[in-house]
Amino acid sequence: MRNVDRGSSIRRLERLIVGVAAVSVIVGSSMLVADQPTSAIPSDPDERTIVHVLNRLGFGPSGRDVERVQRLGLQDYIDEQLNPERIRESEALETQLASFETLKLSSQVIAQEYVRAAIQLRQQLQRQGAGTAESSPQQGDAEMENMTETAPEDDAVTRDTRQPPAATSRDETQQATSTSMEGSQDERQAGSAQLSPEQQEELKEANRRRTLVTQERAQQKILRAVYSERQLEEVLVDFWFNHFNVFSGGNTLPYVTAYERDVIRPHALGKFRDLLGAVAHSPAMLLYLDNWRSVGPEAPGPFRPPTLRSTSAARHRRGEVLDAQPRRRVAGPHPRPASAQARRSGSARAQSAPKRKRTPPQPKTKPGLNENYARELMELHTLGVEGGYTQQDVIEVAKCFTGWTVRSRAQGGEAVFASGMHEPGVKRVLGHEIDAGGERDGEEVLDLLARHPSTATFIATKLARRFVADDPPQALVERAAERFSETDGDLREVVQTIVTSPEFFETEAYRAKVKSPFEFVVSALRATDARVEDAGILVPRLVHLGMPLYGAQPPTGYIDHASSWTNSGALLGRMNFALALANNRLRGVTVSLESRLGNDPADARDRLLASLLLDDASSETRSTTGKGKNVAQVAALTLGSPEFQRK
Amino acid sequence: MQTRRIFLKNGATALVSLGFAPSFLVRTASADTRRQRVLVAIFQRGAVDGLNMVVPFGDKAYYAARPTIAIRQPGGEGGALDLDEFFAFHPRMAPLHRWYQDGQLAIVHACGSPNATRSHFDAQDFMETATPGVRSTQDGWLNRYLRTRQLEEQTPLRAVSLTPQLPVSLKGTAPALAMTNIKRFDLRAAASVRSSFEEEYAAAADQALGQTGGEAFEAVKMLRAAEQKGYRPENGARYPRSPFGRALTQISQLIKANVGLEVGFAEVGGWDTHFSQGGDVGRLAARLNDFSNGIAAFAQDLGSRLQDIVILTMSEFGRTVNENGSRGTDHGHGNVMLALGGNVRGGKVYGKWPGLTPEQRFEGRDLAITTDFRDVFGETVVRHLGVRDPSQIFPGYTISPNNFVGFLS
Repeated sequence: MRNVDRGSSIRRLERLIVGVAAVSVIVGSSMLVADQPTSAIPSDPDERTIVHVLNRLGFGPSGRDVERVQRLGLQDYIDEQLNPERIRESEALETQLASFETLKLSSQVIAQEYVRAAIQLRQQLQRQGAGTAESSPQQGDAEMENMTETAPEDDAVTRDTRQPPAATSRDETQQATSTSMEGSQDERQAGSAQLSPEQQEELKEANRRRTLVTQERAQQKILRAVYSERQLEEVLVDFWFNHFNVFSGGNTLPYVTAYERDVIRPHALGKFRDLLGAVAHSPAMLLYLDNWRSVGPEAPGPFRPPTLRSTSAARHRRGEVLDAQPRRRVAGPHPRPASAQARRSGSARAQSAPKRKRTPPQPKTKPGLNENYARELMELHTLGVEGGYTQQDVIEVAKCFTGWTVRSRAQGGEAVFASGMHEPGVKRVLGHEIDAGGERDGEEVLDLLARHPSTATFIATKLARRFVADDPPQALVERAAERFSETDGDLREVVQTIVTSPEFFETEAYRAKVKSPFEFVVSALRATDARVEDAGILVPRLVHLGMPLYGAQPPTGYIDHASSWTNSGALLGRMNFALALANNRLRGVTVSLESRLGNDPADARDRLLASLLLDDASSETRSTTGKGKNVAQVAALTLGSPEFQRK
Repeated sequence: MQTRRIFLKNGATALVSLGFAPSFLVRTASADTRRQRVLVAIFQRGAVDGLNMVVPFGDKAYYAARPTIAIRQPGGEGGALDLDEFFAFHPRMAPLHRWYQDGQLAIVHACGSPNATRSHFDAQDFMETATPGVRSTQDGWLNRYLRTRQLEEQTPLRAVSLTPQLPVSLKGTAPALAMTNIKRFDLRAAASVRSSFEEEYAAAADQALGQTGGEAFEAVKMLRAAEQKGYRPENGARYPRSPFGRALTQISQLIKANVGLEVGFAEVGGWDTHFSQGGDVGRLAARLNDFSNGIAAFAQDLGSRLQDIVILTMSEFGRTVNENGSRGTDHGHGNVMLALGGNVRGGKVYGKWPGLTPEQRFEGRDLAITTDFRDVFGETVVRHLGVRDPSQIFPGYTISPNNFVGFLS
């Protein structure tokens, strides 16, 4: 924010001039609703309005945010947030993130050097243990091929999230996740009795590296939300990730870091079609919703995705990372036609695979169409369940996407188009003929869906729900949908329409939403200006509160509605979190309440309530928080209060 | 919703009049006269090998398919424990054998999901939502059951899962709680801070949060009161010292404390035996022993209360008929479920046996399914829990007594 200070004084002058006119405009705002880009941003906002904006465009006020916004002006603050590229990121945050080793890695490196090692090692140890005599090297390879089918899934049987740690410490978490599938203590000992101490050490190290991937990913999400100056961007990355949810576990696990970083984040304020395309081409989504295995009933074969050539594996070992050169054809409004030659060379590449001549075993029965992605693409990503498509459309869309697959997924291979798996012929989707052939079939479906009026309404509704209210005002949804269509799905424009709308600033919108556990935790850390040196402890806390990060299993993601988050166990968990935070009982997280709020509980209460704009808190909350015997108790009672659970 | 509000109003009144005394004390006086039917669901996560759990030793194809891991026929050392001259328990399931012989434990074999997925995630979700193939179902079958039953007096402890996280089975709008330890389901704060929190929520203008907060405090009080009495298993029951044993001990504690428990949930893992699964001893044997010891101790501990309880076990799918190259088994299809309890017509293995020869198998490799798991759930809901119209609980599926295998009277 510092970098825009220069411009802001000029803008403030401008606003002075405009301001006078604006007052009269706002008075008559209801009449101006029809005028599209009208902004209803109050020119002289009270603190309550500022906190509302900080709660919705970001993860709540921290430190001196309210004063900063007052200085900058609300209009400029919102503009700035809508253009995160103009905001200088917090250096402290960047330094902290720079110490994480997996965040910038390709999926290949993560798969091969962090995730696969644990699986391979275990298999290797198994083979050593269980009848070495029987398994020739060939058999070993075949087994490995089989294992890639199932192993990643097996590995996560217990789903990091399904059997989350009861424990609150990170070490316990890691222990719990790494051993939960092994069963009882004796059994584990029995199982590992065969291992030499070196092997045990090796296995432990391999498991540690695998955990590092998920830990660092979850921690960066928390740290960014707490400390990023680009608050709206973080909110939208969270929103779009959830909209295009991928569960991190099994075969998707190595891909999710890159999915958020390269697919979601760059498009969070971009064009919807680009985002949709990037998602459709992402190995994470292709794996998660099974499209990688979908084969057209009339497809010519081969029916399996091509594999990474051994040479490319060698290249990779030399440090030439494959997905550094993405072959993704993210189609803008005018996608490049896929040349038949490119397709041919694609399959030629697959055929020129190792001279060793071990063709991947063909499945005994020809695999068929998998409708999973096609259905969710329409139901959850674009049109919405009421968006006007039929089961036949689902089948036809599924046919269009046959061949959109992932090669060597266990090794972090990239998305490819496999023409052998693609259903030939003309398809009919939502009354339109799709006859482009090959990979273009899918692209045309994406074009069609991205520009469908149902999509505009569906996306507008979800965004309005996120920013305004669980049941957003219909007029606002209509205007936002219109903006979506007018701008060819420009998400920045749509978000702007919503967050500058009169509805957004209506009194009813204030604190209309219950915070998700993630929003609660992050807003509490911000409200207390907590110093998070190690976010590790917060990861299992979120599991406990019912919101494991990257751990929403269904493709719907987490449901953005108060009813998802109001259950008694989770609420108790929030109060306990407030207590633990305020009393500095979270290892790696420090709050210095007294230096901020003073030593006097009554004073602290007033300041805290004021800074969180809980001035309208119920008289009980006011009086009970005042009963706190010390500043920590006051803070806990404030952060655990019903009012603070809302935003 | 109506009843929830009534409960809360009572809760709030009690709070004012009795201070910290839990209002349920008044209720529990009458609780003993109205016998609450309870379901305890046990999920074997990771897909247990049902063919080595309840061994079809009478099927020759079984031994042909499993040269090193098959369980020997009943009789000799390490042999299976005969059930009906065709099926037998794994030898390490001895603790449950007596319950079968006493006619209180029934088995449904070749049971499972019509969906062919071999993904643990999907299959668990499909079983827990009871909507195979439909991923978008938002709530679990047990939560939908709770919704169909609106009791006059219901407590925040109607449904408790002794797991770190609420299982999908219990997700939904009816209140359900997850905890790993009753002791730890508490507000970690001084008494004054607790009551301050309680006042905040009691006075909250916010309906939803106020209600939920009220439930939370009520649950805490009930659990504290249950804890105060301490807990000693009865009838000489000895629970295994494992997470599973601890979970069942606590479910028993809740049942005996009359806190209004209607559904208990526990899970037990370690079944994904792709390698070195073992036979009468080994990895699977150890897991089955923990599993059986836990359930047998639980039943023993409950004593006469077992009359009102059904314990139902489930696992997302079975495992391959053939053992694999690592002396283990891979993901399969059909599986086995156990039911133990008062209404159970035990001492019998239910379901039609499809056979294990390659042509009898599902997709040539797995145990085929002759009983849809929803019919087992359905029978439980209708015959044990007394639901007249289960259609809300099983969307997209018709529950008909004609499809019940008849393991409940």
